Order: sequence, then C-alpha cells, then structure tokens
Amino acid sequence: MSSLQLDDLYLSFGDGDEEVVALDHVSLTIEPGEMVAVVGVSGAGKSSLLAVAGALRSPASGTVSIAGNDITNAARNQQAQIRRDHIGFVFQSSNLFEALTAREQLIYAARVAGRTGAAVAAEADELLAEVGLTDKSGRRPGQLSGGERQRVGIARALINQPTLLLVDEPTSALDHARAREIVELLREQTHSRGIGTVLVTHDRSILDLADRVMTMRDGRIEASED
Amino acid sequence: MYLALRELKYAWGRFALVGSVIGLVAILTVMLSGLASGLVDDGISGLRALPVTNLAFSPNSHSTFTRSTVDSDTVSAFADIAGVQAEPLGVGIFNAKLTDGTPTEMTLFGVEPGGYLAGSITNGGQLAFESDGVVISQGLADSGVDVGDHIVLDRSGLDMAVTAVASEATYGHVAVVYAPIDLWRQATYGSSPNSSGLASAVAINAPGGTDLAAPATRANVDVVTKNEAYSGSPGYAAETSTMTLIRGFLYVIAAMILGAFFTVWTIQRRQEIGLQKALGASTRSVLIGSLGQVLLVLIAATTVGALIGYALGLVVAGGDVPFSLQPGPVLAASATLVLTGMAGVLVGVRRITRVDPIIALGGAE
Repeated sequence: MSSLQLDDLYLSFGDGDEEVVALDHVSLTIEPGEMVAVVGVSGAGKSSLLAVAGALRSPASGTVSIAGNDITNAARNQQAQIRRDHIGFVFQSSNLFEALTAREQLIYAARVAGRTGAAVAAEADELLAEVGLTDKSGRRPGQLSGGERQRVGIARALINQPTLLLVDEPTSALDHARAREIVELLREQTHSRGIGTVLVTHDRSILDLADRVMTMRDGRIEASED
Repeated sequence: MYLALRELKYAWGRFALVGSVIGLVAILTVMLSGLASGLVDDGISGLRALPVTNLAFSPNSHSTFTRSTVDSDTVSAFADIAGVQAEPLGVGIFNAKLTDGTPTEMTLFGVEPGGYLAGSITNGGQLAFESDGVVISQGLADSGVDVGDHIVLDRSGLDMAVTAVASEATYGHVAVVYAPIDLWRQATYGSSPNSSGLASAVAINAPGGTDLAAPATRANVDVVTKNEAYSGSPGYAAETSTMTLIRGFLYVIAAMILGAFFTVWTIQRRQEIGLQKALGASTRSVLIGSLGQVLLVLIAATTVGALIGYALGLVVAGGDVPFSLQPGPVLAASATLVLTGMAGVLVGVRRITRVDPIIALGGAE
C-alpha cells in the first residue's frame, strides 16, 4: 500500500480569464520508506501539491489516497481526522506554538490525536533524543535556534507515527551545513520508520539526499529523476 | 485546554491587563448593586415589612399614598371577602420637632390598633399601642429618640409620645413612625368630622388566587400588588431605573472590552489557530480552548473584583450612605457580568471558525 497516491489531480484558482492552474493533471505515488523531493520556482504548484496531499484542500478533479484511504471528497472534519491519524507536517520556519516547550509541542500533537499519558511523554522524550534535543526539551521556541526549532518540528511530525510526512521548505531559514543536517535527519527517519516523505524545497544543494527528485512547472510534473 | 492553559501562563501579562479591567468593572458592579439595594431599602423597607399582599388605592393615584384617599366602605369591600384581611392604612410624611427642639421628618404609618398590621409592627402584641402613643423605627432611636420622648408635629402641634421602638423601617428615604390610625387622621386631616374612616389605602392580605378585581371595580379603586406599589415611593422609580441603566452600561462595557480583547488576541494567534487545525485539531476543540481561556480569566477577574467590592461595601455600609450588601444580588451581578462578558466574546468566534488550516503552509496562497 502506497503512502500517498495522487491520480490526475486538477486544481485551479479564480475563474474565467483570471483562472490560474495550480495543479494540471498531476499524478504521483510515494511508497513507504521513500523520500521524494519536489523542486520548482515559486508558483509552480509545489504548495498546492502539499495542500492536496495534506488533506488541506480538495482537488477539482482526480483522486487522492493516503495510506489506502481515498480522501478526495472528504468533508472538513474527515480531512482533520486523516491529518491527525496519518500525516506528519514539517512546516517552513518550523511553525511551533510560542507558549509550549519543545516537549509540550510533541505532547500537544499527540493529544490532538487523542493520545495522552505517560507512554506518550516517554515517546516524546525518545523522539527529542533522536533529533538530539534531550537537553533542550524544556525550552520554548524563542529560546531555540532555527535548526533546533526545525528539529522540534520534525519530532512533532513523527509523534503520531504518520504514514506520510509532508515537509514544506524546511531549510529556508538555515545555513548550508544546518540545512544538510536537517535533510539527513529526515532521510534517516523516512528510511528507518518506513514513512513516505514529500520534501518541497528550493534548495538544490540537498537534492542528492532524496530518493527521487521531481521538478514542477506551471502545475505539471515536468521531470522525474532517480 | 492543554494549549490554552499554557498560553494563559505564557502570556499572563496580556490576560492580567484585561482581567484587571474586568475586575474593576466587577468592583463597580458590586458597589452599585449594594447602593441600589440600599436605596431600595431606604425607599420601601417600611412598606416591604408589612404583611400585605395587595394594596387598594383610589383611581389614578399611581400607587402614591399621598395622592390616594379611601374610606371605610372601600375597606369593607375587601374585608368582607372570606379569608381576606383588609385594614385602612394611612401614609404621610410630616415635619416634626423632637422633645429637645431638634427638627426632624418622619413617615407616619397609621394602622388600626389591634389589627393584623399593628400585630406585625408591635412584635406579636408585645408592643401595644397606647392611646396617643407612637412606635418609632430603629433609625429614629439610633438618632437619639428614646421611649418616653415626645414628638410634636409642625403646624398641627399634635403631640405624640414614643411608647416603643420597632425594627428599622423607612419609606421614601424617611424613617417610619407607626401611629394608631385615628392619630394619623388627626395629623393628616385635623379634627374635621368628615375625616372619620378615611385612610390613604387599603392594606389587603389575601391568599393567592383570590379575586380582587371584582371588588376593586365595585369599590372603584385600583388594586396593585405590594411589589407594584413600591413604584409609588418618592424617587423609587427614578432611582432604580438610574441604577439599572448604569449597571446595564457596565455590562455592555465589559462585553465590549472582552469582545475587543478576544478579537485582537484571536487575530494575533491566527497563525497558531491555523496550525492547530492543520495538525488535525477539530474546530470545536480549538473553540473550547479559546473560549475556555477567556472564561477562566473572566471568572477569576469577576470573583476577585466582587470580593474587593464586597470588602469595600462593608466599609461603606456602616456610614450614612444607603448601602445594603446581600450575597444574592452580588452573586446575580457577578453572574450577569460573566454572561454578558461571554456574549461579547462570541462576536469573535467566527474569526476562529473561519481560519483555514492551509495558512500553516507558508507559501500556500
């Protein structure tokens, strides 16, 4: 069963002469344990691809299935459930809650998925150890560096054992060395946990770490290379 | 609430700011509530203490004793109904001088000696009226009038001996003095022979469900309930409506402050609200967290404010200001403040439900 299967997706904004095609008949399959990088200029449709794959938008046509669940026409609350149960998001500029410590970011995400208790707390500590933040688990985002924040974001995305990891420009705020470390971490986790990962990025210097690279232009997948 | 509680702790300064404003409003609300009850007591406690259910006034007198005159036939029209007690009641405000020459004023309540009203005033017959004696209320006793003193009414020169002291009672902000109805008639109408049997109103004590409308029509009087009759007390309607208006404004102000705070706070957190939803939190749980957060601040601020207001009230209550603090009205005012505050917050709710989780993705526009 594929982590993500997109078939012939079409999505556009506006209408008539103003219509902008965001996804122009895009098909894509991601298998467990595979990290696919998606590159392309701004407006090429990368974010729309993430939005549809992340159950944040429904496509105008085509089908979306995550871990075997067809969510093409899911209602908003069903989409939310798919996100809690199957998807881990790593956002651009990490997108952490200002008021929560690193550890609490993970515990909150688990609570959203209905998981509480000592086991979850232990899992959070374990994940923070895996991303190398054991000694900073009590710090809030304001007290963490950009790279550390991104590590917390990755740990948070993994806490609910997702089948699909969607990563949006994770290195945009980092220098080259840190950027590679972050993507290496993502690659490790993708392989060791058997997660399907979509990595949207501008940063061509890290593409060698991906299992596959796809280039998008004008809403189409233009090239796919292994 | 996991995130909401941690936000409360983290951004406590902002919540403390809005909380202190709500606390101040709560103090004001409690103080006003005490002042309003105090004014009401000062206006009608003498009437409220009488064991009557209804009062009959002459037509179009708008429950004002000094505009109304009834005669003995009117009293009989009600007293003749089985199970109903009805007696003449005279009410008038008089200037007088105390024994030592101090000018004073009083509301003279004229009641039938030996009747059910007199029984209630004189504490079950222990304090009996004597022929020309009057019973003063506690307020006059506190200002130095003793049993055995004489009160002389201005103009008529009627001399009344104080024979007993009853509990605190005022009407129209003036201390009540109870007199036998004949003495009241003398004070009010002089020695005119036509005044026999006259009174201001009929004090009726009728069991619930008694038909008072038919006898009222026959006797050509307006029958009102005791509560309705309060509005005839001098200044009562104006005082209560002013207090109600001020309190109403306070509630509206509290609602608007909270509404504005919540709206700004929600706008500031828009990104994080989108993030919560993107992580899969339902709109319902996001709403519960956000509203619960404000509700906690509102309840805490109202409680602290009400307690401070209550403490201040206890200081004020001893003085000359008519002030009466009862737990009931204080609780009611606090509850109303919380409810109207939350109503104000509800205007911001759409800002939360409308947030699209897609904003969590940076370049998703």
